[in-house]
Amino acid sequence: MDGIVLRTDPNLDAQVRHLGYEPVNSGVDKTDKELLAESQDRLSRIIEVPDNQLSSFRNKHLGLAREIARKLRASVDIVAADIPPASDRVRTAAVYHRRNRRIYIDLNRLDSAQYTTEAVVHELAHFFTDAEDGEPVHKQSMGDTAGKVVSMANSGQLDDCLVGVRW
Amino acid sequence: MSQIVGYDYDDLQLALGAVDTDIGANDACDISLCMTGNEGEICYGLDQLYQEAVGQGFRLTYPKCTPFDGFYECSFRVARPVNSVGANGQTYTGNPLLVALAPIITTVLTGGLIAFGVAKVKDISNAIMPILLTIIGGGIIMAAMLRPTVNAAAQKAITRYLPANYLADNEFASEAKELWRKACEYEGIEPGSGFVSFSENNPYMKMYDMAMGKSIRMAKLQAGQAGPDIARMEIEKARQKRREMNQANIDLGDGLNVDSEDTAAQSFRLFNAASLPIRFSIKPREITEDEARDVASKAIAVMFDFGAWKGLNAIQLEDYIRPVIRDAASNYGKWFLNNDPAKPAIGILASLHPNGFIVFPVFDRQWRVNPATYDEEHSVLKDLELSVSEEQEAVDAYKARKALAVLADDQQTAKLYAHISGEEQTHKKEFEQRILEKMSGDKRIDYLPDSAAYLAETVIDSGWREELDKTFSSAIKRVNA
Repeated sequence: MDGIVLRTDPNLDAQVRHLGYEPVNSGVDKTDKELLAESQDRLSRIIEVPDNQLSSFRNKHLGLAREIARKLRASVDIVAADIPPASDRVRTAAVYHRRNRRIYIDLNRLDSAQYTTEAVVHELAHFFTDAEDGEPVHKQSMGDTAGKVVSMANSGQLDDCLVGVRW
Repeated sequence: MSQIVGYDYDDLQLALGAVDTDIGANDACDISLCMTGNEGEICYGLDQLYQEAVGQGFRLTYPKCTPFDGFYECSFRVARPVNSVGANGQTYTGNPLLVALAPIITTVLTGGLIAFGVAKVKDISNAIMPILLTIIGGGIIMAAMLRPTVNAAAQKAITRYLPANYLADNEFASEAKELWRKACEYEGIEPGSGFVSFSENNPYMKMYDMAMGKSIRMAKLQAGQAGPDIARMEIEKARQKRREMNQANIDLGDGLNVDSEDTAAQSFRLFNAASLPIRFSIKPREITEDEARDVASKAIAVMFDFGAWKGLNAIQLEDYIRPVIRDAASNYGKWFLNNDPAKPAIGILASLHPNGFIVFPVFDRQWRVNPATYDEEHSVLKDLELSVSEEQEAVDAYKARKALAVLADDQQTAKLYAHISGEEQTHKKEFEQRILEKMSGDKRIDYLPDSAAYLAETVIDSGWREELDKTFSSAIKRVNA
């Protein structure tokens, strides 16, 4: 049945749900681990896009994301990328790669400063906590990070990056 | 101000009720309404109103509808012409002297001029033009005299429906005043005091709370006043979302009642919206007094909405709200009360009124308001009232969600306390699990992940996204100005 996988490890439930699936205890062959492996495989096909191939708007929005990370003292690279969907039920806006400490933001999300900011807040929360999607600590960190970003925007610290952006 | 300002179709009817009762022949009243929905829905609502109003013998001007902030402000004038027939068959003849004088004056003037013309020029043909002008002028005078005008009667119609005036005659308010007096008497304190601390064994305490809660509720029912902007906008968002979800429900056919679930989710989204500035406050001392007032008023408005939706009485609402207030007070209370953590709730409430005094009896049983000064404070409270339409909508939603009451209740509890404890994810899991258990075996299980995700994510995640949106929209506008 669509949208359901067999639960083999309850600890994976949050990640499964993040991929648009629901873990159940019986009645389906595909397991949660298979789903996650499939997702990893899809995400391994991320293609980085150099800055000089981006439109003016996308470059500005990427610059905003980088400035946010810099001001939050997050030693992480942020690059544009063509990201395949992590599952057949969700689209993937951005990915944080732990090993190389790099945040990939999908080209489509770079079309709007709003999408870009939301994506970078989400991924920075991964960077700060090392937690998976759906874990309470990640969720808490998203709120905290967003709070700091809001504070920066309110105090004018991001003004230079906001000139000519498209929200 | 000779104007009834209302919100949506139910207020139109309320306004019509007021007009019908208090406006006589030759009177008029301006009505201005904040209407929601698409153009078709608004036309339909206005059409209903016009038919009803005309049936009651009113004459209405064509409405002016101006879009603003996702709403339409529709303004028009309702008038009761002389010799119109009301809904119950009664005839409105107006002031008999005025009605009689108008044609008499016109006739005398016209006749006099004709006589003058004939006497002076001996030839009637030379006086035709002055006669015609006089007839026209006389007609205008007569029409002006009989034209309905906005006057004291309209003013009466308005004030009759203001909460403060209603409360003056409200039996619950009278009961509350009496119980207040008895409670003070029991404690041996002066009933004229402002804030009073009752002991837990005071036998009149709970009765007072109940009476005051009912009083406020009744006032809300009668007020027909729009809520503050934040609540109004949130409610509009909820309606929009519900429309979308209703459509989704229709598309799915029979099955999961998305509408009622959405309502449940929205209620908590309101909480989230209200508490967001608190969560985002960096340090208490960086908050200005205006900001604090703003937050507190939003929070109170949202809580009103929640209470109405839940059908809670004052004491029950208090039980729900207390942890939220406590949480909020951890920031604001300190700021207001010089770091005294003992009375945080009062810090929030006091922020609502310039004199540091607020009428709101549901939050903390230790602190109550003197009903003798209730009306004085009511201008503050009035701004926080939700309209009758919201109230009714909330009640309808409450009834509608019976089918999924268990789930909805779980979600309410989960979110409310999750917000305080920071255990959102745990409660979200539990809630989703309950949905799955409840719906296991249902053919529509493939829809559930989306539904559960919507319910949980909307409530929990939407907050910071909204705050980002608000802040950056404003910052970008400022920078690029």
